[in-house]
Formats: sequence, C-alpha cells, structure tokens
Amino acid sequence: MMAWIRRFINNLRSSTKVKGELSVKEIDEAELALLKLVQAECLPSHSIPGLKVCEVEGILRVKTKLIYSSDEFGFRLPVFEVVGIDLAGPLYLKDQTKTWVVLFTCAVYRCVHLELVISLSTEDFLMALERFIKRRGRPSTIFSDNGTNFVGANNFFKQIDWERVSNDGKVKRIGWKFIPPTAAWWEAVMNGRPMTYVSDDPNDLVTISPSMFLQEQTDVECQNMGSNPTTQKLRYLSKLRDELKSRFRKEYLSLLVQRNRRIYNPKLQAGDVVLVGMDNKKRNFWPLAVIEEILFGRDGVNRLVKGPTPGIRRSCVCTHVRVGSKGVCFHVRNGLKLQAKGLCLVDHCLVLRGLPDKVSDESESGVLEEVRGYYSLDDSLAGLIQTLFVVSYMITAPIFGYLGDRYNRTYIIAAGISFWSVTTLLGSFIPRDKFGWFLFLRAMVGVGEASYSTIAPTIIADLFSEAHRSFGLAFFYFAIPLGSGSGYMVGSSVAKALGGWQWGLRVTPGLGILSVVAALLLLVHPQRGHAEGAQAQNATSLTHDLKALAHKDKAMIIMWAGLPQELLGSIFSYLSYNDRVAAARVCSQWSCAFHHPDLWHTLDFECQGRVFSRDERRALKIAERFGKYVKALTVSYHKVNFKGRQMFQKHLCQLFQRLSEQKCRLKAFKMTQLFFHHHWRNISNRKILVDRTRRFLRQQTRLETVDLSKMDFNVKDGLRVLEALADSCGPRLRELYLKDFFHNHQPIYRHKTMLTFSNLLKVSLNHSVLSSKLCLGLGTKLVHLTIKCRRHDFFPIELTGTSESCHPSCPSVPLNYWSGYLSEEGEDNAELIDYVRYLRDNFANSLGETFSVLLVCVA
Amino acid sequence: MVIARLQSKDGDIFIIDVDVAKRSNTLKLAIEMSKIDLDDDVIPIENITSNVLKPIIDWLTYHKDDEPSEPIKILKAKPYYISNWDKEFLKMDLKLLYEIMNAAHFLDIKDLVDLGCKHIANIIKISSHEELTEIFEFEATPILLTELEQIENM
Repeated sequence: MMAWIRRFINNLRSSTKVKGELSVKEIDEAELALLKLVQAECLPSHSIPGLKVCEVEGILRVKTKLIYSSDEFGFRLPVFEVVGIDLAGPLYLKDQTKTWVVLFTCAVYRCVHLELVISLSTEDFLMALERFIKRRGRPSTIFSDNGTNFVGANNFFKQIDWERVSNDGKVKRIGWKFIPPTAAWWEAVMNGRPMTYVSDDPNDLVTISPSMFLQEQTDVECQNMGSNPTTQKLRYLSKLRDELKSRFRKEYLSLLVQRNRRIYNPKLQAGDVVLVGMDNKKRNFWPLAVIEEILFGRDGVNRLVKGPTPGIRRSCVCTHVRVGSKGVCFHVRNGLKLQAKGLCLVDHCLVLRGLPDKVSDESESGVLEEVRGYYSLDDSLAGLIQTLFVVSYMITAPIFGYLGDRYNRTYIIAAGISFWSVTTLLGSFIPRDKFGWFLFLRAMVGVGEASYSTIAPTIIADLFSEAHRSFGLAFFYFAIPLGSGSGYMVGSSVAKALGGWQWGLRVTPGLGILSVVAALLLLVHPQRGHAEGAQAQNATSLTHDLKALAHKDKAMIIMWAGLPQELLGSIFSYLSYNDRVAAARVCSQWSCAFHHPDLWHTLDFECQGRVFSRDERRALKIAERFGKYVKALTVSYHKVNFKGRQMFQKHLCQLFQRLSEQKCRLKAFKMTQLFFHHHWRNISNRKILVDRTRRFLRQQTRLETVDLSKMDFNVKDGLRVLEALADSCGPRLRELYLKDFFHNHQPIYRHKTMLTFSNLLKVSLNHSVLSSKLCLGLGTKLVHLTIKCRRHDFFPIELTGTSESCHPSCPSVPLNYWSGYLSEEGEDNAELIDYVRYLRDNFANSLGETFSVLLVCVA
Repeated sequence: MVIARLQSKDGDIFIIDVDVAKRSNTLKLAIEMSKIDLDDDVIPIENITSNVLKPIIDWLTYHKDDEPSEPIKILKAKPYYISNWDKEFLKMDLKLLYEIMNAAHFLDIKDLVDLGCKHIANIIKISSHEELTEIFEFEATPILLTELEQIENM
C-alpha cells in the first residue's frame, strides 16, 4: 500500500512514469519510510535506554559489533541470500517416469541445494521453491536463466510460466533476475567440491568446501542456550566459525583475485629453433623446428610460425609455438653445431678414403710400363689387369649395394677398405713367375673398391639434407680426379725414389688403414633416409626381395592399392560375388576391402536348378565367415525336384545354424515360394524345416521387414511360425507380407498374435483371410495394404465390407480414394468398387486365375 | 547468377556457379558455414591441382540439373550402365581418374564418386586377374597365402 502511494507521488513528481508491478526496490523503500514514521512516533528522543544507538539512512539502529565488521558485504549475508536457480534433468525413475532436479546455488558460498520436481509445471516449481525457502530461509535475490541452456529440453523448460513465478516471488519480496542463457554458471558448483587447492600433505587442514558453511549455518540457528555445557559448546562453535572465516578469507578469497600470469613471449626470429607443441604427444617428443617465416596474428602477436621440422619434411604452420627456455634453445643449437662438426670430419674421412684408392689405382697405371717389364707381358695381358679389375668391380658393386641397404654401412666400408689395403699390399709382393696371382689380387682390389664407392655416397646423402648434400657429394667426387692426378705423380715418383714399382702400391695401403680407423672412430652410422626424416625400415627377407626383383611390376606405383577404404568399399559394393573374389586376389589392400562388413549385408540363398550349385555352397560359406554382418536374408527356390528339395532343406537348416552361431541379427528376412503344401506334403523333413525356421525366427529380435509370401503353410505350421515372429519382434516389425501364407483360405489368423504387430506400415494379405477382427489387429499406423483377391473373391459386396472393416484399423489415414491396380490391365485413380464391378461385367471370362488389388491409402 | 571462385593448389582460379559448387557437400559446407564473401574471396582448395579440378568442374557443370541417383540394390554380373557423356568423360588415364576420385571423395560429390566406382567395377568385371594387375599397376604387395586360400575357397 505504502509502495503504491509512494509510486503515485513519484509519478506525479517526475516526468518519467513507472508502471506495472511493484518492484522490490519500491517495496524496500516503502518499508523504510514506514519504519521512519514509526520511529518518529515512538522514539522522539532518538535513543533507547540501555542500548547504544546509531542512525543509518535516517533510521535508528541498534549498534552492534556487526556494523564494524571488516568482512566483505557478502560475508554478512546468510547462506542462500542470493541464489541461482536452474533445472537439471530429466532423470528417469525406475518406473520410467521423468523427474527434474531444481538446483539452488548460493552465490556467495557456492553451496548447492537440490529439490526434486516431478513435472515442469509452474506449480511444481513453486512448491519446490517453497520447500527450499522453508529449509534454507528466504533469498533476497534469485538469478535464473530462461532455460535455453539445455538445447533438447528447451521447449519443456519454456513451459514454466516464469512470468507468474516472478510475480509470485515479488509478493514474497524476492527479486528475480534473468541472466543471459550462456551465463548460467551456477550449476557447475557442488557442495563437497574443495574451494581451494587440495593439499597433498595429510597433516594439512581439511580443505574448505561449501558444505562447511552450510553446516555452520544450521548450527548457528540453535539458539536456546542456558545450561553451562551448551554455552561452552556455543563458544567452541563460534571459535570454530571464526577460524573457518579466517581460513575462508585467507585461503579462498585470496584465490578469487585473478592475476594474469606473465607470459614469456620473446621476439621470435626466422632461424630460431623452437619446440612445436603438440597436444597428442608428451613434451619429450615434441618435434624441434627451425622457423622459416613468422606469420602475425590479427592482434599483432606472432602466433603462427612456419618451419620445417626434422621429423616432417614439409614445412608446416604451427599454431601453438612454445619457445623452449633459453637453456634448451642454447643446448639444441650447440648440439646441432656439434653434429655439423662431426659431419665435416666424416666428410674428410670419406675424402681421405677416396684419395688413397685413386692414388693406388692410378699409381698402378702410372707404373704400368714397369709392371709389364717385370712380368714380361704383352699388350693383351697387360690390358687384362685393368679389365679384371673392372669386371670384379662390376660384379660386386650390386652385392655391396644390397648389403649396404641392410647392414651397418660403417662396418662394411671399414671391412672393404681393409680388404682393399691388404690385397693391394699383397699385390706388390707377388714374384715374377706368379702373374696369375697378381691378376687375382688386382681383381680383389676391385671388390674392395666396390664396397666403399657404392656405400660412401649413400652415407653422405643420409647425413646431409637438401642444400648440403650436393656439396658433400661434390666434395667426395672431387677427391676422385684429385686422387687420379696425384696417383700418377705419387706412384711414379715413389717408384723412382725407392727403386721398384711395388713401392708405388705399398704406399697407399697406409692411407687406407688411416681411413679405416677414421671411419670406425668418427663415422656415425646414420639412419637410412635420415635427412629426409624417414623412419627405420625393417630389412626384408632375401627371398622376398628376389621375388620382388623378378616381378615385372616392381617399379609400379602403389596408387590403386592405396585407394581410401570408403572408395574401395563402394567399388566392391558394385561387384558381384565372383568379381569380388577376383578383385580381392589382386593385392592385400583390396583383400582387406573384401572383408569389410558393409559388403556382406545381403545374403541370397536361392536355388534355381535341380542340383546344388556353387552359389549355394558359397552362400553357406559366407554365412560361416561373414554371418554376423548379414542384415538381409533372401531364401527362395525355383524348379527344384523332390531330391533337390531334400537337399535344399538340409542346406537351409545348415544356413540357419551358421547364421545363429555367428549371432547374426537380421533386419530383413525374405523366404518366399516354398509352397509347403504342394511341394513338401510328402517329405518327412518338412517338419524339421518348419521347426528350424521357427527357431531361427525366434532368435531374430531386430527384424523390420518380413516377407513370407507364397509359403503355403498348413494351419498349424503357419500359426506357429507367426507366433515365433510375434514373440521375437512383434512391435518392431514395419513390413509384413503374408500373401498366400496359408494354404487354407479361411480367416484363421489369431487375433492375439496379430495384435502384437502393432506398428506395421505395410501389409499384404489374401482377401479370403481378411476379417474385421484381423483388420483391427493390423495396427493404427498402416499406410499401405495390399489385398490379393482370387477370382471368386471379388464380389463388390464383400469388397465393400472389407473396406469398411479396414477403415477403423487405420483411422489416421482417410481412405479418400483408392487406386486400383490389376495385373491384366490397370487404370489409376478409379474407385475400386466401381472398377471391380466394371471388370466383372466386362472381363469376367477373360481374367486369369488370380489378380491382386492394391489398396493404396492416400494420406 | 552468383558465382564462386575456386582456387586450386597451383593457384589457378576457376569461376563456377554457386549452385553447381554446392553439389559438392564439402564446398557447400564451406560456403554456408564460413563467412566467405563470394564477391571478393576465393575458396582455396589446397590439395587438388588444376588438372584434376578442371574435369571435376566440367562434370559438375554438365550434371548440375541431375537428380541425385539411387543406390544400386541388385548386384549384377554385367557391367553397369554409364551414359555416353560420362563414358567420354571417363576416357582418361587411370592415374588422373584415381586423382579425380580421391578429389571427389574429398569434395564429397557422391555421384561422381559413384560414377568412378562404377567405372572401376566395370573394368574389374570385364578383366581377368592378370589384366587387373596390369591395368591398375599394382605394386606387388603380396597377398598372404592363407588369405588367398580363404578367398579362393569361397
């Protein structure tokens, strides 16, 4: 009342008019004004005897310690003074009913109070609010969102009339504020959650959690004291409370002040070595990268850095660049330098090695004349020396290439050069009459030479990456002409100086031994393809290599084999079974696709001749291997004689057995044209077949489409099969085709069994078995009903009766107009009854034995 | 007519009707989800080169009014029907076809992928094992003997 009056006065005074419901602020002000009036009347002296009094905002208040409290404003509030509300759920109870949880969160202490509501109606919510207020006290302000934060439940939440709740809240003087949907942070906090860091030290105090404050609140409320122990207890409690408060202030409030960590963001430059942070790898395995280029983000901070990493050959753009601490960077740079130094040494070694070889070869050439004189050779024999050398070189070079791809190249090189040195040295000691031995040793020199000259370039290539590689190789090959040139000089001069051509050969092995030592000590064996970041390859077996070499497609591309699996799968899905086998034989990748589950969703078991063909056997094998993938099974046979039918029965039972063993869960099952009554009447196995079929169907719980037309069951068998079907997947079934299912054309479907198929969409039936009861059983969702009529069935009266009895079974589909379809002749959109009458009148004699009428219900 | 500009890996820019481009689900997403200004921005397709992108765009442009095709349900031993224009289109070496299929897979053009698969399936149907190895230039990743037995036993 006071508030309304004050508003009226305010509205008169100011130009801006306030309308609508009273707000909390207005009511507060009104209360203050009333208090002032009362105080002015009762306490004209502005003092109360026995109590200290102070005046705040024109109102007399009793002076207590609380006013001087240094705590934050929030701490003076009781728990649940400012509250956030949200709804969580739905939760499912045991009996499948839904409930929701109303979450009340205290804004100051983050305590949580939960209330259960059984519906989203406004009344229920208000009751939950009531309960909350009764237990925790009345909140002054309630925050809530408008309920859009649960996407799925959005609409349900909207059913709550927030307007009404808000109004109700105002009557109780609860301010209600709606926050934006995304700011709903309330529900994230739970009572038991620690508010500060959890210490690992067991001696530490228990971590503060919101529930402590809840506990404290309830303790404070017991105020009836009097006896001594209670007072002590109270003192103890208040001491505890003070401690708790101090801890709260120290441990929690200080945490709320968020300090930005200073981020060490150094200026990156092109050429710096950085670690590339990866979410999916441990820090130890983060790759190193050298920055090629720095790309600046929109805010000018260098976020993007581009650079080649040793592990990845391509340059990549890294979005998260973490610069290693300075030490790491320095370390890495030093390491690289060290490595580079080592490489130079290695290079020198290789050059060293190149030199003596060439020196020796050419020194031999330089002293060829003397050798000729020594062994008294003619021209052709003298030429043979060089020829043998070249031939042995040619033969052994590929062998060393092979070895070099598989074994430690350093050792191969060392062994090769030692061998080379030894043979060269030995060559110089061969006496005059043993020219054959001399020739042999020269050939062995060729072997030694082959070892290093095939392998050395590969080591160089592996040690150096792109830019440096050519330089390294150039340095190596530069040694060759250098060696040849100096070989002539060294060889002939040494020979002259020491008086014998042999000395020309004896000098060089010394150099050779030197380089062996250098190689063993200094040469680090690099991983193959190291410079390109290749992974270690496993050595392949010799036989496999030879096979691969012999195969003509050795150098061909892996292209088509590496087709993505989806594409391969869809190619295979276009292939018939035989083609699939042919394609799967081509290579291992394709044979993988052959095993893909998607390819084996359908299985046809169809017998078309008198004997069992390959196709049937294959179907059995598919069932054995891929049975668990099969989703649609089709069984049928044509033109099979008596014996063939017996075989068919045997194999079909086997098929069912295998599929059950593989835990196959069919979605579609089609078994048609078995003509039990006609074909199987005298076969003793008929009973077994029906039994197995029944048992198989009983296991299939996921069937959606079942086609059992033209089965021609007798009454007993048919009913049992239908019952099995109804038991396993009655309500799941969407399509059920029972045309000529029974041999007997009487309305013999059991009403109860048919009622289980309550969700059928498409049904086909014989006209003769239709009854109004059965139609009722066909469910309410029917959109497509095919009725097969025999010649003697199609009297208009019966059809009319049918349409009437059919109608209530599909009330959602108005049978406004039907289109008739005849196997002989068709005319769309004609009214069925007229059409049948027309047919009977005109074509009764020329019609075939049967024709089917398709009744299409148009929605 | 609204146009979109597609930039291939080589940097060539292809101009294409937006409706045509949207037959590729990847491009459709790119155009609709991101705020690409069709008048100014090019859509970079960084893993497809011009020689692959061009036939794809030709195919899309020719087939822009086609209804999406139905999946084939019945497996046939005979080769599948492919229209004359498509036959002409498929007269390319298999390496390019491979790249086109991969690109179509990336761009999520279902019909083109299907066409390629059909074509390959047809080739497989009419060729023997040896011919297959030759045509597709398989690297000899030898198929395990046990696997081979399993397959051939079926």
